[in-house]
Amino acid sequence: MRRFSAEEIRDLVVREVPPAGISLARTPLPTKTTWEDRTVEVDRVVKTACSRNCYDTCGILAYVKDGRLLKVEGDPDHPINRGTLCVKGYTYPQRVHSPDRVQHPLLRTGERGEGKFRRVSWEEAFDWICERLHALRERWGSEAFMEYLYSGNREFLGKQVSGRFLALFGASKLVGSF
Amino acid sequence: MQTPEVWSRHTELVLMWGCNASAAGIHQEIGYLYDAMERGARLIVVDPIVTAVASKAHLHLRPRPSTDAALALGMINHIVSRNLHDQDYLERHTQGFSQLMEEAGQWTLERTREVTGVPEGLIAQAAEEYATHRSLLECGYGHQRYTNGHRTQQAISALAAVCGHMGQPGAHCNFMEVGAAYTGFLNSARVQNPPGADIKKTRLISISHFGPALRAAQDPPIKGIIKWRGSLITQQPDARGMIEAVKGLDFLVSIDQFLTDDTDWSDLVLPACTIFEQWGVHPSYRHQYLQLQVPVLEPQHESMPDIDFWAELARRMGYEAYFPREWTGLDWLRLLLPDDFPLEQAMHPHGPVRLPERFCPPVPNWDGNFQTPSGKIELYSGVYAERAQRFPGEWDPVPRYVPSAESPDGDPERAARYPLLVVSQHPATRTHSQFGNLPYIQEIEGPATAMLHPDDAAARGIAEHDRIRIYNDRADSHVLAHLTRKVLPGTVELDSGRWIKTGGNVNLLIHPRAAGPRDVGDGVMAEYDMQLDGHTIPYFNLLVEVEKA
Repeated sequence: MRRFSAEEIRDLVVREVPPAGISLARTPLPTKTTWEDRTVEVDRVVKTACSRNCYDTCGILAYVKDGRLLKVEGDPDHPINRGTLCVKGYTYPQRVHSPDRVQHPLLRTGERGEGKFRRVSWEEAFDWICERLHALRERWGSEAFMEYLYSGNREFLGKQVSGRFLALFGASKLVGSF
Repeated sequence: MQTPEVWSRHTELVLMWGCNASAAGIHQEIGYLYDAMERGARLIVVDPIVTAVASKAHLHLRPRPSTDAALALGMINHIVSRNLHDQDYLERHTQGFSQLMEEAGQWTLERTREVTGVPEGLIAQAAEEYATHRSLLECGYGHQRYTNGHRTQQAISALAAVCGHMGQPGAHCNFMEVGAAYTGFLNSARVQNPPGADIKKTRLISISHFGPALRAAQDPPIKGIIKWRGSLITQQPDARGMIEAVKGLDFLVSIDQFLTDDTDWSDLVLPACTIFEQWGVHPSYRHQYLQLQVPVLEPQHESMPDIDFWAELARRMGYEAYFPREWTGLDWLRLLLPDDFPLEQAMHPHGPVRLPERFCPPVPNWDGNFQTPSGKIELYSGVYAERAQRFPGEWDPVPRYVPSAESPDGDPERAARYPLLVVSQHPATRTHSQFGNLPYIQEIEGPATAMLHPDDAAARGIAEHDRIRIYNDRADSHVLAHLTRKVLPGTVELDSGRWIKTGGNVNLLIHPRAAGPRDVGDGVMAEYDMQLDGHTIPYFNLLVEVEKA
């Protein structure tokens, strides 16, 4: 195999890879789209990204109408997914607006494992957690508490913020990967 | 990772190992792979299953599950015996070639065939083609899902090094090691250890040995968990053991979008936002482009963005000073990302951007330098030799084939009772336990089905679409049978990620076991290095028997 020299590789990168740190957005964001065989005017199209546990982290164009996610498309300017999504990605509108979503805090009323709950307010939910965290720290020490978190949403911002709280509290730390 | 725009233009051959590119990471793998193939590149796939991408390969090697290290060592030995290795590269940029060959030299084609089941001619042809082309080695995770997975990856990486197929456009060993998330792009310490705070070092709990760790932890025991962005009961091995462990908690809180197996066992369930309802940043662990996540919709119903939840909980627990009420996700993002990163360039209506090269170079290791103590590829790993002095484990400095735990080779006694090995693919329709509850996906998937070789089915009187019971002494799972030669005789394919309450969950059957290299004992640790210690879950070390239900 002939080996490229350092200069050749540098040239090749400049030629074949877009420059770093500069937006690659080129295609104007659409204002309308086809939906159930009609052309529909949408309220806005937002560029965002998928953060499932997957290499691709696809760029998404999210079409919003009347406060709802009408449809999603792959961002044509994203060098990896180049305008398409996968079968899972295309289900997002159905997922976001699923009637099965947990809609408000739920407190267990039945036995563990029965899945019986009653609706409570966020205020009540926070009080419930705080009361138990204080009691736990009092009785067992802070390391008796921890988070369990993995890649359901593999986005990194949320887990840094939880990490700040858990570090301050002195919780046991979850490590490793699977 | 060498970026796909570069490798797809220059490679002459892609060796795809343990990677079902047609189901996972499809854009990067399939999209760019086909670009390369249209240019004339050859494709060799190593996978026991005939995946869609394997069906496109020029050569398809189907090793018996978990024997991949033997295959890689046999290929190395054949390449060296034909003098097709890159002596110059080995001398300049590696150390330990002679020690590697002491091990690899024992792997004649005949012995490799005996262990892997791959015909000798096919091993030789694949090895010769790989060595004599400008070849890219694209590694997935399939071959790692065994207790010997770390040894296998060691052996596969050594194959690339022996041929000098590293750091050259179109020739590299691509694996997940270089993602911006792990190369300093994210300033995690700045968020997690705020200045002025009194942060104490606490004990560590392994996620890949979570059930045993939860049961073993003492002084104090684990008594409270907030569970979010993960599926504790569906996705950990030994679901029953996991449930027992959860019963010992004072409280379990789940933040979830749906009522899952986990929420059933929770005391409090909180409504989670989707990725369209909150801020986020997700640098790929396999490419170099970034589009920030912005809130597209208002939080639906009463769901709360994750960072809002944690910040509010922290404030209520007395840490107001560290969680300014007026901070949005954007403020937290500014704290997390490098100060000189042009954040707005990666954010709606702009983006994506390519990340700075210091975090993910498009052609890594082009200068032949590696992040090891010697600066070279350590075919004999000094780091492992040193780690062996500090922690128990399987720290062989050179790659070896050692049969994996619960497999026909590794546990013949168990295999006599439960002769079939289960391989759990990640299907195109799900990401772990997600998406399977949506009508679109259910329409595509149909009922839970396992792939069974026609010979194994015939021996058990099982016909197509018969209801079958997959079982061992731990549990059973009821699914439909699909008879196909896509799986090897002696193996069963049952997808991962099906919920327990809707049936077909594979993890019920799995013994909780941590893979190496480090032996983490019961999973409660004082220190841990993710890059060195590894120990993922060997999900495919699972022996079962199957009968008509």
